[in-house]
Amino acid sequence: MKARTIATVLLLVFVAASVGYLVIAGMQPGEGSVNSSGIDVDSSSGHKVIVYYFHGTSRCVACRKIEDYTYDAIASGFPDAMKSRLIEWYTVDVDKPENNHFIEDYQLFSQSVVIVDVVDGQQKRWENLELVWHMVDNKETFTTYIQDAVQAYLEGK
Amino acid sequence: MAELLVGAASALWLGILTSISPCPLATNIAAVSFVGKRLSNPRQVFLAGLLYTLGRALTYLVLGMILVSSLLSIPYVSHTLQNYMNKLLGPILIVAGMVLLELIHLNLSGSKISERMSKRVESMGGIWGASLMGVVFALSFCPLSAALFFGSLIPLALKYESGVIIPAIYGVGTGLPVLVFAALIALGARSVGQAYNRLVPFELWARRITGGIFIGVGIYYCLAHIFGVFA
Repeated sequence: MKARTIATVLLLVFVAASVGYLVIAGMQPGEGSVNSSGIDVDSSSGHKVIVYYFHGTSRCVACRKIEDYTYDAIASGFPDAMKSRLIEWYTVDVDKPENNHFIEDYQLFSQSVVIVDVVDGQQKRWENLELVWHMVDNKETFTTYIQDAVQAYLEGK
Repeated sequence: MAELLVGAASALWLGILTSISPCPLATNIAAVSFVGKRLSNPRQVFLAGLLYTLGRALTYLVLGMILVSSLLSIPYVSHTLQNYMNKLLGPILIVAGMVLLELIHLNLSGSKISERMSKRVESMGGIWGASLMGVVFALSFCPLSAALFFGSLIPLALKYESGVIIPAIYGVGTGLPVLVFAALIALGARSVGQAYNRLVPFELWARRITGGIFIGVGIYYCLAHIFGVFA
């Protein structure tokens, strides 16, 4: 009987702490910075391709795989372009208030890989590589999918 | 017609793909244990599995109708559900588990419900609770299920101009493993019951195990989605 009471109290305290934390965290103001994700908004003249991996605070195993596979695909496929910053890679937490706008900007419905074509500092086009979720179990296919998309953007196709 | 059948088959497959993926595993375990706890009545076990699946199907049907008719923005709905439902699910599951373990009691004595009526309400509540659980679990999107529903299923529904049938079939697909388990448990319970005719003690343990699983899954959801322990 005593054990049941202790278990009940502990569980109720845990539930109250969870709800309390949820409410307090929800009331915390955002950091307010516009560019704290480290993204180079003011780009120099010329052409470059930006590859984003957008995620939330909660990360799943498949989500981490998608991030790792995407980075590996561009790092192994385009090492020179990465070094010269012709290709830029960013991971962005969209749950941070300052990054919230990306959800509507790129129509994000889940953790996503988005490729953006930038010419003379202006975004020309973008694509959400939605098939990453269907290819996450096959690294080879996944890598080809990412590299083909990046290559097409580099060539302006 | 043939085209719509292809769309329906794709929706069913997407639903099955969602249900067998690792991220809804915890909620599937909770659902299976919940629908299987009435071992002494195999018919109710199967009915609970069916209602759970219908709860899911109805949820996706309503969501599909809203999204296909463009009443709400897909990114907004997806982000809101992923953010808030998973956070609310943890405390809800812990409290539900505590009720199942009778650590806390839902006191109906204040109302004019007779004891017989209370038992009836409890019995029906258990069955209809399965459909409510289907609704809540369906709304608790994880990144993978969000990608499959908002990124693949909704475009499919738009392509076939079917905001009702395609999302509903997807919902049936997501509940299929639980329904299959419910059928297997119901069949197993019937044969075991016929052999031993003493399922009531097992049912008590099934209820305790279900309560324990609900609390375990609830704690996992709180740690993962509220406190960010596994982030």
